[in-house]
Amino acid sequence: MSPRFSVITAVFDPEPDHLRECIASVDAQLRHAEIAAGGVEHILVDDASTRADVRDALDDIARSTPRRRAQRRLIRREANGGIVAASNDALAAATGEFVVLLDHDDLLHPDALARVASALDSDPGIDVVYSDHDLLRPDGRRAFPMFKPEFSIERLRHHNYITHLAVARRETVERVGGFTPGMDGSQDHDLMLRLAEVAAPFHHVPEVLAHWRQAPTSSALDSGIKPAAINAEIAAVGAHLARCGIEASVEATDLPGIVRTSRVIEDHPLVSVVIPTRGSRGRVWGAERIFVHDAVASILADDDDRIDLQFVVVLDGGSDTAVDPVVERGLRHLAGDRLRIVEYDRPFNFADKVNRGVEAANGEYVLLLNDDTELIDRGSVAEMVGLAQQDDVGMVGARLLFDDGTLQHGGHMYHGTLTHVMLGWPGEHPGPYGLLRVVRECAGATAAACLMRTEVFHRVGGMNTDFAANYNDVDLSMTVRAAGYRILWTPYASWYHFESRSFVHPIDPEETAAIEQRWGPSLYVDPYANPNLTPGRNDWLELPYRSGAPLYANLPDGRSSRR
Amino acid sequence: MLAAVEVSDEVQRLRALVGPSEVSYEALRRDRDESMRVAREAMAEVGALRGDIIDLRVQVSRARQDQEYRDVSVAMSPADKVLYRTRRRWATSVTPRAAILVRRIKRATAR
Repeated sequence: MSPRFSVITAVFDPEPDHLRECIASVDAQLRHAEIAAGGVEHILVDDASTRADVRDALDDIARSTPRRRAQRRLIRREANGGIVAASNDALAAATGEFVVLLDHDDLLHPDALARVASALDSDPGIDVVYSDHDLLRPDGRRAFPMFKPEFSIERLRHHNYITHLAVARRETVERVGGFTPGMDGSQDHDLMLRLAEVAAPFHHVPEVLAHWRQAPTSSALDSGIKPAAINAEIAAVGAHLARCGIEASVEATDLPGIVRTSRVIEDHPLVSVVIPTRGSRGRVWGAERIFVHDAVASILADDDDRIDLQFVVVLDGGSDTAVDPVVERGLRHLAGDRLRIVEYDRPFNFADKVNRGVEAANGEYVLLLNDDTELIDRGSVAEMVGLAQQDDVGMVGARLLFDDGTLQHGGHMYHGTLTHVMLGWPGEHPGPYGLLRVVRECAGATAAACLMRTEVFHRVGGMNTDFAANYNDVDLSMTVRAAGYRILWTPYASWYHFESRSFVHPIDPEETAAIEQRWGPSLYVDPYANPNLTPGRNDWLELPYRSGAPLYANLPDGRSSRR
Repeated sequence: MLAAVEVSDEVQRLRALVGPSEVSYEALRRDRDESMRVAREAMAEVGALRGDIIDLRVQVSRARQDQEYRDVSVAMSPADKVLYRTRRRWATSVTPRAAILVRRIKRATAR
């Protein structure tokens, strides 16, 4: 009878003790009766290790017959072929229903396969399961758990956030061709991308089921020492995008393991920038400004020839005051015939103003923008359009900074509360696991700067005018996701947002009650957070005692354990 | 980057401040832009410090909640610990397996 799980491990010159621990961690899975009953085989492929102690250790392992162990097969390659060749040999020898990817010095949690089996039993349609992981320090202690989101294809395109533990249906892995030759160093990322193209959404088990060893030659310690891996990563992502029909260039970033994709903009679209404004003035960096003028001027200064722009300004005179005529005159001077003015003289209702602005817009895309903003990064609008081109993307949010450079918006987070990811953190901080440097899915995006295809905006019914001041973007985000679209956030589109300097609107408790009543318990379930994170926060703080990081400790190599 | 708003009354106001000299107006604008740049950099330094404080707060929160959790664990009597571990095992292992068994039975009886 074929085993349920085939653990495949390519071996090349690990520390012998680390290899023994790895093997023991696989054997330990059998203490679960259902795993022992289903069967586990461990395929080890020695890729012509050069160290004598490793070869001796492998000989011992081959001869050993402990009482409870997985069915073990040792294949010895005559010549070194690289990790891809060795992994493919292991895959070819595997007979199990599911393959488990395990590096030669990593450890499985004792309950790893039991947890994976539970997930697979709950839904026979699952092809791929991945879990959270942590790092195994050189001193043997565990630290830096990576608590991952639910399956996020966009994030996977920019960063192999899945890593360990990954389990895939063997038939599906073989269907996509196994590990791709030439992708050594990023073979797992390449495989995950190929699987994502054919398999149902991956299932995520929000528990640490693998311990990724920090060894001097491990990418867990410093992927800067594997430059070939970076090139392979770029190639893997580029090939994946091409297979998906997405025209884009791929380049490395300053963060190892994270790439940037620049999408080709199709058809030179018109983007209608919808800006509700009361013509407010304020002082920023010591100087007075009319906010909407600088918002428009900063976008016009970025003359990106990939897109055309229209500015739809909803001038809110309110029921009691008129907008200063200098506001409209200045806008006409700036935007000329690209300007469209929509007069609004009703009581304040931000959602209604946005809806009226979009009604008057001609563009295939609408950029909802607050007046108290100023563009930072050139190409921001085009960056958002590039991502919004995908049929299943409903909304794209941008990185917003306060006037002091701290982060105002890194995407919405609805994990026990409604907030902005990493609010107040340094604007250039990479965030935990590079969260703030990678294009990724998120629960929602602020309407202070978000871009949608106009037809999506209309399809979801626009903004809900029941939320006159607050939570209209939360409701829009929930509606967009409920309609089956993804919401993305990109760090490559960036504005200053001088929040609360233009119009102060306190949150009415009735609005909070209304949004909670409308969406029920699902409101505070954020698929892109993680159950191991403390709810009600935005800073990725783990639940008690799950951080694994000792206090005030330095790692043996002298680096601080602070992330 | 500022809006070049050529509004006649705005120009009149500036002329009243600096006199009828366009050169003076340009000099004034350069001074203002430079002042804004200095102010922006100063605010960015403040922002960097604020961001560091937020980071430190999270580290302290992490340490504090780990300590509190540890204090609670230490204060538990042996009986409390056994009860806690039993409850945890029931919730994380027994209940999910029972649920799977029930689903399997239902599927089997449905056939």
